[in-house]
Amino acid sequence: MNDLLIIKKYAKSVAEVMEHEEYQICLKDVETLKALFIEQPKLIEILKTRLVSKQQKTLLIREVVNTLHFSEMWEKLFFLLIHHTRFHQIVNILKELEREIYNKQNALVVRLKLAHKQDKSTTDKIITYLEGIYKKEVIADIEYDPELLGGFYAESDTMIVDGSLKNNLKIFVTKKQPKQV
Amino acid sequence: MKIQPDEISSIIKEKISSFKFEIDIAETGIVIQVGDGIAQVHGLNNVMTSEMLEFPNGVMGMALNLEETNVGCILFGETSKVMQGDIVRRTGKILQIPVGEALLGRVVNALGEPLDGKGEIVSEISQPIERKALGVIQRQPVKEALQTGIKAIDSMIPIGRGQRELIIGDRQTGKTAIAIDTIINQRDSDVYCIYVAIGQKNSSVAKIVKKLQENNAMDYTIVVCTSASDPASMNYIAPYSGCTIGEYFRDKGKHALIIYDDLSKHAVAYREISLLLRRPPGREAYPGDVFYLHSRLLERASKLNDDLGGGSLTALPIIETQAEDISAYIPTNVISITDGQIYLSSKLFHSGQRPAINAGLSVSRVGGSAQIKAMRAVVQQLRLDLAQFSELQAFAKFGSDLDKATMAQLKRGERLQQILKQGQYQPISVAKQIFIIFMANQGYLDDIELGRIPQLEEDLFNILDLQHKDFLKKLLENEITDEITDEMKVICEKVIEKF
Repeated sequence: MNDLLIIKKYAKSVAEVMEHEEYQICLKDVETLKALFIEQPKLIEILKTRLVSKQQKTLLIREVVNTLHFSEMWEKLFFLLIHHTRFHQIVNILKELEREIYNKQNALVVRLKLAHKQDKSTTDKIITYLEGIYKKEVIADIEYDPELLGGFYAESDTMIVDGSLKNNLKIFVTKKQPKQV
Repeated sequence: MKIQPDEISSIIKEKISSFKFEIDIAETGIVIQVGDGIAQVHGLNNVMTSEMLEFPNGVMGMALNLEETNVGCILFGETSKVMQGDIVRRTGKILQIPVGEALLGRVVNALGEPLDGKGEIVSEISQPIERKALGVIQRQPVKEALQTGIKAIDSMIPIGRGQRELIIGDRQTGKTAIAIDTIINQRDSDVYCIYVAIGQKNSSVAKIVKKLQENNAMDYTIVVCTSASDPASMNYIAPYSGCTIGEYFRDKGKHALIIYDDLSKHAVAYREISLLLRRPPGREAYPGDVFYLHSRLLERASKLNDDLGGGSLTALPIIETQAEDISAYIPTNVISITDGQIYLSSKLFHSGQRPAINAGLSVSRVGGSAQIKAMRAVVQQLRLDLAQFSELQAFAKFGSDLDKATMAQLKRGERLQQILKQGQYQPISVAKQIFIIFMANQGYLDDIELGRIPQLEEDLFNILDLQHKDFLKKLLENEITDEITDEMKVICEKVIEKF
């Protein structure tokens, strides 16, 4: 029920222990782990199952975190998640941690949908516009969705900015209809 | 009607030329829990309390609980259409409903959407359902009477325009009947009526609407209906919606009457919502603010001062008691908020006294000053005689020999009780009420058999309608002088001759 809140709590706790100057290094660690767990979902399965012994899990975790900068912290986090049977949420926690760190740096990850591939100057223009609305540096996670017909659609945790042609046509049609109660 | 293609194309061209590209910005949150008509939403940091929220699939909601990490909302649509992880949009608007004359004669739900199949309601004006009650400066004391057409009420428990008079009693004692009679009696007055049915059976509401239609009362009436099958959220907002509709007429300088049928079910709906929102339960599991729930609603009934148009909103809330217990939590709360109560007794009802108004427990705290002078003059004697009768009745039960004076008092009391009986949907004008009470006070009925009094009453009203219409008008406008008394006596003697 409250998975989202739990994920946020874990991410927030990890971000809290970081110093400001460590954010960039941590982000690199997060990116590495995220890529690993997305590419190797079996790894999550192994770490969350009770069929694998704690000793084997320890060895595996040490191997995973060995090359990371904050290896000790990651190891502790992973054991905590295993202990509380929440390891299946690791990717979401990492994503949330990424957002949390960006937030601390006054930046925001925004899912930006465009109808078609645009040149860099147009994309930059949209991002600058979004930065004006969000009042934060925008890190755009760009996707393409032809259903938008034109324009853009930006979505963050707290706000939706819909400048798509699809939505404008919807508004246009609604305005044409007689006033509804 | 012929459709002109040129016209259509010109409309489309005009629309296209005025089309502006818009960027829609909305603050959002994520549903983290949903069920039982309640949703917990994460995010929405700047949401206002009572703000409308847009859920996917056209479901609307209202923010009620603003907590540290999430917002508790009530849903007005199908809960099954909302899922965990859905995005919720802020609208920036407090819940509003359409108001105005367009709603007259219509049956609507708590959101102002039509339920009567008569097509859409085209109203330009919308107002928020939650509004702050007017202050002291904007008001003036109650000074005009609101006639219910019920003898027992208009005489002994008078209601003024802008007053809040509670109708309280057990189930099946005629509470709704009083409310409906009052609406029917406004046919020839300038009062608009709003009947709010909260958590009632659809069949009961249909019956009421039919009765109002039969009596041509729907022309000036709006029915706000939430049935027992509607979610608790709809039952919770229904009285506030009705009140907003009534306030529109009041603010226009007109007079409106609103009936909340009933606030016990409203309190139950609010308790359900509060418990689901995990608000701490108090007495009888009601939340701590259940008093405020009703006080803020009933405080909106008011009589505006003349600078604001002098409009009024009179409220007749209904409370259903269990086993005649008026000291229960919700009844005592509403009794203390209102300006009086009409107490209906099931014992009186079953003994054949209808309307079953218990005159001893009923009171109108402010209506007296709104009562017309002629009625005030005749009712003093009525009250006194009835009080003496009820006291003597207790003695008479012992069966001991009674003196002549006591017997006479008992006889008078029985006749007074008889004239206060009245059939359903038969409201009577005030002038006629004054006349029949005058007749009883003067002892004209003392020698008439109890069973013949209804016939006498009917004859009197017929004579008054046919021969003394001007006199009835005079009676309403003046005090009862010796001249008027003499004239009334002449008419009374004329009627009594036949009996």
